[in-house]
Amino acid sequence: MTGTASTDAAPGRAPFLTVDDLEVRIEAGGGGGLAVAGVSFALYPGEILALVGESGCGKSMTALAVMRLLPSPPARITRGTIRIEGTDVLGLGRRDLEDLRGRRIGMIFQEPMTSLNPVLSIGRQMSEGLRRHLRLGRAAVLARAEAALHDVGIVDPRRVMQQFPHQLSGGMRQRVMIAAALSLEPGVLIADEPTTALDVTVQAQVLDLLAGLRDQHGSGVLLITHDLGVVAETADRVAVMYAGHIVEAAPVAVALQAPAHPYTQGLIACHLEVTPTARPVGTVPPLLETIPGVVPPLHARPDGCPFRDRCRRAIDRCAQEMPPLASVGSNHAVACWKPFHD
Amino acid sequence: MLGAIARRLAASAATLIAVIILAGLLIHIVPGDPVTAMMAQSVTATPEVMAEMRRHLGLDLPVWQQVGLYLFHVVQGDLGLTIRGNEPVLTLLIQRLPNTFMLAVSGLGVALAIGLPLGFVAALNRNGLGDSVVMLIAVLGVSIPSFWLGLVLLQVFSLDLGWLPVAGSGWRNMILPALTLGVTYSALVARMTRSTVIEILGEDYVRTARARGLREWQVLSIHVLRPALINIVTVVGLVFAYLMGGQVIIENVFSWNGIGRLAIQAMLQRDYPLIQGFIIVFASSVVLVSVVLDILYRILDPRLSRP
Repeated sequence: MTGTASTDAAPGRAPFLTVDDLEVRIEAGGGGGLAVAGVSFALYPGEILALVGESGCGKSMTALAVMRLLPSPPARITRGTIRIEGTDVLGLGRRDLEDLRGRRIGMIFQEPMTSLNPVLSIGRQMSEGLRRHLRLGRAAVLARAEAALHDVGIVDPRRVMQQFPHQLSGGMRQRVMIAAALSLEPGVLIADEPTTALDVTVQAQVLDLLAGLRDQHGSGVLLITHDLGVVAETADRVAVMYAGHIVEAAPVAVALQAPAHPYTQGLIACHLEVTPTARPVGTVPPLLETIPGVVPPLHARPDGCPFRDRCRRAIDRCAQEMPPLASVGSNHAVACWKPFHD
Repeated sequence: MLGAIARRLAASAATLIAVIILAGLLIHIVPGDPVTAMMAQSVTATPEVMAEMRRHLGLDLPVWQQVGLYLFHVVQGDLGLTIRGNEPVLTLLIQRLPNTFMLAVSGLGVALAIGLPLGFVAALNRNGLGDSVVMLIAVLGVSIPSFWLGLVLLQVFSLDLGWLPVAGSGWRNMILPALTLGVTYSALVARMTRSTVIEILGEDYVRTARARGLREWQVLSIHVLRPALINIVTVVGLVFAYLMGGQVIIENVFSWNGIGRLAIQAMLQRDYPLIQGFIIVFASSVVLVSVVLDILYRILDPRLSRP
């Protein structure tokens, strides 16, 4: 794979996180297959890289693999390397892995409702990571936890720390989860659909938090989402995943305005544009496009390009060989035999 | 929280009054006449004597009066006298209750000491070798009859090795019955712990705790154990309430003077006041346990105590 080289944003700097040729297999009694089929990318300090795709494309599996939090069984990493600031994550023993998690790479999850322990106070869940990793005294831990909650826009951290998850709204819980992850100042933050379960107004605030993390702390953020609106608003670079492969990687402006892969273009065409000036009053709105078909299930992924059955541009070669991720411009790579060109 | 507990206690009192009324009706529900049963072996049992006896026991009054009187006496702490021996029922029961309580507590302690770690081990090695071994032990624990296990333990530790006394009422006498009880119930505790822990291990918040970099023992002892306690406490409470009804077989095997032996004796002798007293004491301990469980739930689960 040439993916890492061709998707680098700034080859001069050392990446926080590099994933090279990662393969995750899911065993399911004969019906298993590759959930992640040779994914490579690099995440640099001070950037937000969006991993985009429909559900089942392998983006969450990739994120969990980086954290070594894959549910195993049935999922298993069968190939590839993952490095965080030079450390080979797949070679780590349990205790070293525990030292790495939280401190050097943090993760926030999709479901704020279920991702906090219902029987432990917010204060407890905010402070346990600080106590564990930074070995601070009680007062210092509380002060930092309060500061972290304040930073994510919680006005009365002291009161919130005494509350329990069920007493908070979804948006507040997501803030708490983000604050708990950020208080440890990890170099890399993985955010798995951090806004999917939230109201639109809260979504924007959460995305601002992630952008702030990038701008103020220089952290790298791996943002996993299916929402191109979120990508347009926040991300610096985009990697589009389909059926376990990265099919296109590009700076956000390029990916959204001049996508080269038919799948990326399809995703953009499906995306509902809500701009009030777009349509004169009284005219009929254009029909929203859809990509016909679904992501092929794990056990029935065909040879060649997995998107070809849903692709209008498919040619014979697509059925024979999976196209490699190849450069088509500055920082722009695509895995397609018949990409769009400007 | 206090208001909720007060409401709970009021409901418990109502339950107990219902139980007392049912216990009072008992004599009239079961077939057979207690006076006939009492006088069965007596040569002086002329019809006159038996009628006098009935009058003396109040059995000649209308049923509702008898039950009302019974309730009236019981709420004042008077459970009547036993038919055989004319001893106060309450005194007899109170003499036996501590023995049953100690046996229940120590048996449950053994069950938890064995069952909790086994359940955890099985859950953490789900479908692995450890799991199979633990579940095999659990099946054995359930299948072995407690009287047989008790007899084997007595034979080995009291008769062959001579380490422990065969009969008596000191703490050394409690070791074997507690062990027997504990082994039997450890299987239940292990199974329940296993399924609870497996369920919690799959929760998102456990993944969050791991993502935070906590040590695995911290994840297990805090993020898994704390929520698991809610289920564990439920099972422990129910088993405890059940054990407070006395363990007839184990008490007999080990000549342990608990409630169970007394109850069996009372039943065989048709000693109705004593049976009624036993029912009320048993019901009271069930009610008490459920109140304690309610309080524990509120301590363990903030979703109940802090809405």
